[in-house]
Amino acid sequence: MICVNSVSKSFQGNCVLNHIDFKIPDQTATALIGPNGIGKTTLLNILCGSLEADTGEVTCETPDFQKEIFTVLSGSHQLYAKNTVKENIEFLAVLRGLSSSEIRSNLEMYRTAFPLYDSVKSKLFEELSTGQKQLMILLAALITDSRYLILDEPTEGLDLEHKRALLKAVSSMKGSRTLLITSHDPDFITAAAEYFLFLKDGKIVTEKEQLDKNEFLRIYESLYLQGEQL
Amino acid sequence: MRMIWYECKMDVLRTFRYKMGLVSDLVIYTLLLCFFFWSNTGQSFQAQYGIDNYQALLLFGYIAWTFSVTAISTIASQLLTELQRGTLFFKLHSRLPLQILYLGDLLSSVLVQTIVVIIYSLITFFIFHVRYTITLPIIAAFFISVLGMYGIGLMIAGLSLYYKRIGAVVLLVQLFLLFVTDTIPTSPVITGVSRVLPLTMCNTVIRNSLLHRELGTTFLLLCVVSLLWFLAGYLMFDRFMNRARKKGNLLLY
Repeated sequence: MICVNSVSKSFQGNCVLNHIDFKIPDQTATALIGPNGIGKTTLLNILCGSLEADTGEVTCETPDFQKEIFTVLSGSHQLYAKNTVKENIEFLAVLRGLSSSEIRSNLEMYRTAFPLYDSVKSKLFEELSTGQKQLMILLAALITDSRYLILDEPTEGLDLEHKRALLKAVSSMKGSRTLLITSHDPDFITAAAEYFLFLKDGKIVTEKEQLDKNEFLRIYESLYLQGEQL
Repeated sequence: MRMIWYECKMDVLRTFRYKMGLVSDLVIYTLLLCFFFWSNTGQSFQAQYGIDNYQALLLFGYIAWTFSVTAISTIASQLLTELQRGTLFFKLHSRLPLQILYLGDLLSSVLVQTIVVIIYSLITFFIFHVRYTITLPIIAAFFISVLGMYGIGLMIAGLSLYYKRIGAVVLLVQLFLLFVTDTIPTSPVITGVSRVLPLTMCNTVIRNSLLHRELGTTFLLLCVVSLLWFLAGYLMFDRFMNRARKKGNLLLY
């Protein structure tokens, strides 16, 4: 379990996170919710170790757990454009210390869940569509055996077909990986996540389990939209 | 070693797929060297070293400079590109420190520059009839000085996390190295001071080797100077990275 204990972060005197506390249970999908600019990405960066908190700490029973985190940022240019899909995935797995045989066996294991791989593996990453890129990055997360997966706005720019494929892939990871997802897409996030953390004024103000879309929108509206209806 | 090898392989593949970078390097380095030969730059090496074939001294100094320039600029540009693209996260979570992992990029750049060096050396051979022999100490000196210059490259890369647009600074450093490290003739005072740089020591070793002089002390000094720069670069890069983690400079921009 990842524990965020009293974490604070300010930028030039502007407090973004204010003694925030929460836990991410193992092998579940947790959603971090809030409008733009509220500090979600700051928090994700602190979790994965690329940003240091001013106070507080992030702990986990797994030693050096940040090396086990695979971060998928919003946008779709996160891999090497002039390398093929296969080269990219192999490279990321090698960076995590996997042997060639482990990479091969993982590819075999996940090939059926990602049938797209066989048709695009020899293509340069830049030749893929936004949705295909996102799916291949998710496949890379699985091949690299990452225990923790952070997805920042994974549905951004995806059409319905790829959104469904992404949801299917994310659902297949539940129970074997710990996921933390941020998203502004109510359909996707309520289907993908089991726990919901609502961030406001630098704190987690509401924690909920298993929300349907209507409940989600009602909470979102009451917290962030001050009477405006979605 | 496997991670460094893969880092190198990925970068070599990218370089050949981009093509233009390789071609522009070849054109620029060849034109600059031809300009030096046409303008008789390095003629004063004749008197300084008591050798007729001053062009060989100039050519080998130029090759050492080419590799050094690659070593100091590769990491900063790679780091900034990865920061913009968002791939730096993957490397931050790799099993190797970035400074060691990026040795793969250094190796890739040196391999690619070796092609450039071979081509412009052949061109000068056919156009200017420069005669030379390459010895093992010369090759060793190139690689040892590259590691030392990589230390300087790590410092520049660390700075680039704060001052993102550092292309002009890198260019200035490259030109500075050309004029102060005895790559092209300079005053003995400047050369004396710049002996703290691996490139100057490398030039001294190369010239001693070409003149069949004793190499022991200069070679040892090259090793010591290069090791110190490498260590200093490694530690400074660590400090810059830790500060960047505090200030948020590793976030996408």
